[in-house]
Amino acid sequence: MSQHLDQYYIDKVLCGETKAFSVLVDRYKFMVFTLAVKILKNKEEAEDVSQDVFVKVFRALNTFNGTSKFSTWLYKIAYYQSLDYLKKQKREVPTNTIDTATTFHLASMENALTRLETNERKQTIKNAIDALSKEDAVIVTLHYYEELSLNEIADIMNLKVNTIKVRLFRSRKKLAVTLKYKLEPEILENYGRK
Amino acid sequence: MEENKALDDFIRKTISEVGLESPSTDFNDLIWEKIERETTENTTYVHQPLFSKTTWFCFGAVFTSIFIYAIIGNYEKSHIWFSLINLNRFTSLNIGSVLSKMEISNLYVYGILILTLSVICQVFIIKKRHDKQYRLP
Repeated sequence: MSQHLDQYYIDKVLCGETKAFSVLVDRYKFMVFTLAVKILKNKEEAEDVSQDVFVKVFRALNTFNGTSKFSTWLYKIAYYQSLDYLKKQKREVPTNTIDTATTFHLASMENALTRLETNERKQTIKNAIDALSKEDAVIVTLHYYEELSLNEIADIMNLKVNTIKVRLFRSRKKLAVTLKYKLEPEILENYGRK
Repeated sequence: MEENKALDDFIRKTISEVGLESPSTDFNDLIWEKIERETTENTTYVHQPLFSKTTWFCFGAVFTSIFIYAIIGNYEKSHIWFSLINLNRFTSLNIGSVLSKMEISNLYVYGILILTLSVICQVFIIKKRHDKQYRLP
């Protein structure tokens, strides 16, 4: 259904109604921007790169053959454009390397999260996602926000499905551990309480 | 397995709270600006001649036919309107003899020659500078 709607606007743009492209931009700009932020860890740069992504997509719209979803094609371009930008800047974004899988108690973490104020909670969760490597952050974003399948994510990132599966599994654990560290005082406060 | 499912649900619920990042409010406008800028930069100006080849061919055909008609065409050689133009007054002026009596000094001639040469040089230099200034990047 969504692809049919996208194709409708793509056909309009290719017929010369360039303003129809704005509909596609409005539909996907949040996801594209989020992906860029997850990779570049900088909102200004992510904004610039996201704009370049849409300009590139506009120019290459006639090459979209419809074999995959438009969103998959778009996110692939966004992913590689962000990586190219990083390469040009010749920088590696430092990430938190919490690789030790320690035990965590979900119930107490949930309680601790609930106790935080909304903004603080959102920031805590955001920081936890930002602490992941750029690839893991992209996988988590695509899987949980866009509800893409592992096959679709593998297609976007040009990785094997199994690799995505393993990374997703590890990212979940990492997120839980990061959140646990952030919420440690709250968890300790809640310890023993129901 | 169950733990994994529980963790997945927890992460899903947690992440959904945060939502996606929002770009600036003029995001769309900036995209169109970039597209327009790229379009302008990529435009190449192709100079077209004033008269196309077809036009030149037509001109040539018309003049050739007039020329051929003038030579071998069957028409009356004299025309009343031509005799009304009194061209004899120009030949009676004897401009050639008047010009031969004029005396121009060598200094004047050298001055005119140097002036002509400097004008030609300056035109060449100014044109080159002008082209350099307005060359497309």
